[in-house]
Amino acid sequence: MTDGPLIVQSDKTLLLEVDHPQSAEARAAIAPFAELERSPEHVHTYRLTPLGLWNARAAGHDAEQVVDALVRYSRYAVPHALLVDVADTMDRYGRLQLVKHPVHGLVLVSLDRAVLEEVIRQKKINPMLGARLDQDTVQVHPSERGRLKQALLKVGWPAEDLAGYVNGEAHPIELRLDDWELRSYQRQAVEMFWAGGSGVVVLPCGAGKTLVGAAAMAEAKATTLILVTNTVAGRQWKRELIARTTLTEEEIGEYSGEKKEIRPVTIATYQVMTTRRKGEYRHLELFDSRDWGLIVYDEVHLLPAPIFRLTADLQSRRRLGLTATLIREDGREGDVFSLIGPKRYDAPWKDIENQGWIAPADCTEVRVQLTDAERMNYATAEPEDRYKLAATARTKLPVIRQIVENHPNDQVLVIGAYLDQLDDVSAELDGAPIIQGSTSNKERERLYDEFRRGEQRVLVVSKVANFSIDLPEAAVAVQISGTFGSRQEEAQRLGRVLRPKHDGRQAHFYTVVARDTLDAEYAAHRQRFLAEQGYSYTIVDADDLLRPL
Amino acid sequence: MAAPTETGAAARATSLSGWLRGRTDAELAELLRRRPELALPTPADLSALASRLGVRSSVQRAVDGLNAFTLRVLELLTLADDPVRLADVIQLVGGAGITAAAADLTALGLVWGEADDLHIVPAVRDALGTYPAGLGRPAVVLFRHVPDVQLAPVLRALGLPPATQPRASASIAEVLTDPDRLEGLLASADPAERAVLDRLAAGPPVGRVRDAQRSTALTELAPPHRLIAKALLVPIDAQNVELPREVGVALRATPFGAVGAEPPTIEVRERRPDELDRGGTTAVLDTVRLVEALAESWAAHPPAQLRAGGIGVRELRRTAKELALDEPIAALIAEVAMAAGLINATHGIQPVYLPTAGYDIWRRHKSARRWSELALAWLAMTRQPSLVGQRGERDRLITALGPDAERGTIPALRRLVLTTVAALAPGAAPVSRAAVLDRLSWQAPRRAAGQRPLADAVLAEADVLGITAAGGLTGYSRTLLAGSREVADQVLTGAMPVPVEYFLVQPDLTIVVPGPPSAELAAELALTADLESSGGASVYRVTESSLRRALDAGRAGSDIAAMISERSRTPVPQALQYLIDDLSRRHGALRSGTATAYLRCDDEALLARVLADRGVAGLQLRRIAATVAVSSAPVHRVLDLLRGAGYAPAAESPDGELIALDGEAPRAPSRQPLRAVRSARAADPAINLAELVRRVRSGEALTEMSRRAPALAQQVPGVTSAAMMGELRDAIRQGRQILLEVAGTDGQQTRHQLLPISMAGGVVRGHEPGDRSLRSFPLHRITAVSVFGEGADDTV
Repeated sequence: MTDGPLIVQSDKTLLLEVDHPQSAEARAAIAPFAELERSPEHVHTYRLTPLGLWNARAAGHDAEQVVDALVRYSRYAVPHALLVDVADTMDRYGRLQLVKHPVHGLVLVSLDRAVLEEVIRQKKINPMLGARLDQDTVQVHPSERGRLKQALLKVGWPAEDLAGYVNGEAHPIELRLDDWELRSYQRQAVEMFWAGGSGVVVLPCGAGKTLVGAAAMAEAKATTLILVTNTVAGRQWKRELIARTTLTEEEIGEYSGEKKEIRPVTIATYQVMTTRRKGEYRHLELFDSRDWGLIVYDEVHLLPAPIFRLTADLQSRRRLGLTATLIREDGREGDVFSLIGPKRYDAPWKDIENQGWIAPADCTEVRVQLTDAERMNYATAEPEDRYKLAATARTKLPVIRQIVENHPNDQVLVIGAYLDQLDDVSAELDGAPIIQGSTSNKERERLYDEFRRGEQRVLVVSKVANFSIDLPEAAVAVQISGTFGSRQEEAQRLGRVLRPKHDGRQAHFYTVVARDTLDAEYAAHRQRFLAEQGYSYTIVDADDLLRPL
Repeated sequence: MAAPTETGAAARATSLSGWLRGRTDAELAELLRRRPELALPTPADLSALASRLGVRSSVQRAVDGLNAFTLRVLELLTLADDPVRLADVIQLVGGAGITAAAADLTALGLVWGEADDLHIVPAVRDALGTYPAGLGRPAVVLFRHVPDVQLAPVLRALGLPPATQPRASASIAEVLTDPDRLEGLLASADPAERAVLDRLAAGPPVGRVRDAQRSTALTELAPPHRLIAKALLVPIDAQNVELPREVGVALRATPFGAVGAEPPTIEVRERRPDELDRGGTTAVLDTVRLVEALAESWAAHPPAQLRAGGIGVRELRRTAKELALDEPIAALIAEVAMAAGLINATHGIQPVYLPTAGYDIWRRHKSARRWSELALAWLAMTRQPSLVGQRGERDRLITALGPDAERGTIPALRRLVLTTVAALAPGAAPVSRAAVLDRLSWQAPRRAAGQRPLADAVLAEADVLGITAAGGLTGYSRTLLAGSREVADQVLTGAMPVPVEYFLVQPDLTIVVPGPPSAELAAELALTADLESSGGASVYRVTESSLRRALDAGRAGSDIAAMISERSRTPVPQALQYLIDDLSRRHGALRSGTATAYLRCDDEALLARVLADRGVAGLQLRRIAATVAVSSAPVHRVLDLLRGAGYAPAAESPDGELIALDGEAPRAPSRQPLRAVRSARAADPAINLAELVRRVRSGEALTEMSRRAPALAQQVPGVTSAAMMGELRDAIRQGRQILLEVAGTDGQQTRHQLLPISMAGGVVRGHEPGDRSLRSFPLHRITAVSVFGEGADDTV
């Protein structure tokens, strides 16, 4: 018995005992091929998936290394069948390769004739292929490069794309490293991405994904299209690029609902790209309007389906996906793999936090006991109204006030989902400004600026702030209601307070919930996600908070 | 008392029994060891043994047990004319190892005689079938059955004068036996024809042809018909052609075909035996867990038994999904559980499959014991789970637990397969399964060659069940196969990871048991949490519903919290503590109970009076609300007693039972677990074989002597004549051996050789030669006595 830190389960999950002396070593050995699924305090769960194994193959690991890592660190005998399965799965990647043929252009080359015969006979794949050049080579229509990769992944024979990239229109971009430098993991991420050509970099919120993007652009030195989730995030990108690179304001265009600028570096929102008029996507020509050398996808886990379809046509351009998580709620991880590219870099949250790059967070759940009247109201309400009733209970208001008062020197964000409730909170907090969907972009920018400068201490925000706003000094976040049990929302909200504080202060994340209601149930679901990410949270009674002992 | 074989022409045996007489005791013992059925019951003498050697079923068994090479040698011997000179055969095929193979065949009693004078036991030819060595019948036999009309063009083609049968067939056969002419004929075959010939030469020598008897005079003939015209193929009926033996032999490089004298080697990867065992325990624990999970799943949702038996495809799919398995493995687990008597179909109008009472007993055993019961059941079961899901007879889908997966021969095949794997060194695991199957086909071609897919499935199943690990036979399975189950359990327990008594509780409310949980811990956790993932470790998740389950089962919130904090190696997260507290606070606000009758009365005072009435105390009425009381007595008794006590109750709802009693968990009738039938012979030590041979020998001697000495027989049944008594007395006085014929209690006549020492009290006592113990025979049962001559003593 080796007594290693790893336990292999029959459902292909790997359990890593964190307190084991060898755990760091084992983590390093399995991280390239196993997806980290949960990382609670003591035992982390990794999962072996075909995609994960192929990601590892794409990164140059072979089955022998994987099997060796499993066997070396496993506490108990690893089932033989699992090892065989791992080897077989990994062996499937790269049997087919997409390469550029000097005469025939894009071709699919097979290192295993039987596999080629198999896929040629697939009904869905056959139309994408052209003439058979010889027994192992078949021509591919260049326009089908992406769709072919998608289809091949679906039938379990993922192709290795070695057909290279066009350089695109050159444009000088340099990092301005006057008073800062790339952190080691950021540099590593860029290197890995550049070596692979295309792919996804996975970094936690607050770990500086924008800088990875900027560094990649400096590497490409070409015109770049950046796709972001919304306008505010786009402005944030712009601000960051101007600050960190040699790019000037004039070189960066914004392509959004408001402006339609196309410049050497253009930042477009997902929303505008997917707007349809009379059933047609109006803004697709943006992709063809310039000879882009690099396309950056921010928050790739939110990439909408139409963008996938477009991306399928852009396979000859370098693509960089940035995200905090590869897990998509719609399960289209396979499309990210085949269209954007394999995972090129991944660092677990806790590791980066331990290195001091993101602020440690202290999570607290405050439980509010509803009044008898509220309880009766809740008990007799229609099921669909119940959550709102519980989440917006007025009993929460004094508690929110108390929390804000407990942190007199910190910037505080109060995040909620219901506008009426936000109004009430604003009133309770002596008229703290509210940012919601109807707030104009200009007004938002102004408020954010004031908040950033410390002129505003408290902001009350609706769901609009869920994504990609950058509030470096928000040290306290209070969430008072949410979108049911969305785990992604929880991650994003937590991300608001994870940016490093200039004085290394502790970040606080409060959730106010109504006891014994759906609110508490949903909160439990969201918190499970936090716990799985390794954040322990404490539960506090509202009464203890209001009347400290 | 050995009778050594006299070598040399002088002692040459002329009959099988004569040859047997010349065998040494050791040789006879070996024969009986390898063909145990010959000694059941013990043959009276060597002639009886000789005749048993020719019994068809016994010969069949012996031939089936031969390896490919020995079988081929036997086939070649049968092809030659009787008697065979081994030297001739060796000269013909020139193979090494033939002498050893022939010796083996002789030892088995399939062939007898000396090397230059071998005889085949007659039934052997029948057992080998029509086409020994994959060669057709001789040309002379084959052509004899072909009608004249068809032979005429053949004769013409060969340039022979026209003739009628049997002259025609003889002359054609003559051509084929001439090597030069045959060579010429073969050389004239074009590639298409040659391909047909080669295929038939590799065996079997019979092929199907459309319209085999069509006229060969036509032009544009297909290759087989062209070959018929050249006499290289013979039509045997309307659709089949056969390759004459001479042609087959000429086509083969060696008459052996592709059969090696040595078994094919199995490439192995050597591991330490204990490492292999540990590898197996993962599968062992998984198997035990899966059987348990299947039983629990079926107890909750019993699958219905199909009318023909077995469970439906959909039920199997559901089970597989629930257990997170592939369907074939789910079928295997179900079949094994059934064979081990852990699940069974209920009787009734709508039979379903449920765990049996045996399952409850099985569950209490230790893991090793639980597994060995499953493994033994698998070894013995006459069903082949790999057939499930395939199409069987009449294109019917073979269902799990259904009648179509029944294969009577499969336990023998399983043994054979495992014996092959067991022949590898401990710790060695074959690199590929195909090599094992090749070896198997060589070792027992007649038993295994046709069953390759099944044998492959058996190997796969053995790996799933943990009998083998990575294809290599584990130490504990080796012990189990050798028949010592207790020892196997111990070895297995030693190889298994030590059960864990603690766990780690995580803030996301999962509980991780980092190893196999002890039975007690597993039971506690099964109650309070849901199993999320298993394998080396077990991951449980505490949810509201799982905690509620524990509370429902009567655990208090504080019990659960205490259990968790006691067992946990990590601090109990606050969230879990809150969850338990919240739930136990809410638990039980609504109450429910069992009662058979209720009594309600709007008048509270009247109800109070009834409750206070001693006359109805027997009803044990209990007040659950101001106006309602309940009793566990039946309604009619409540009414009777109340009426008797002078009240005037009315039955409100005559059939109003409130709640059905929560009975025991449903269980199907018990079922005997399957066990391999171990033949009595197999276990007998060699010492018994010696005893057997001794008995046959003495029987032989008796036969011999009784031929020489006239017997003095009983004249009147039950009355021993004075003459016989006289004989006996003389024999006692002179110390001479006698031969007694005695009627046994079952009326059977047995013969005994005896050196009598006394006769008194109606009993004659004495020693049997070679036996120290005293035997006694009642006089009235002696039916005949004969006294041996002087010479007889020393031969026995």
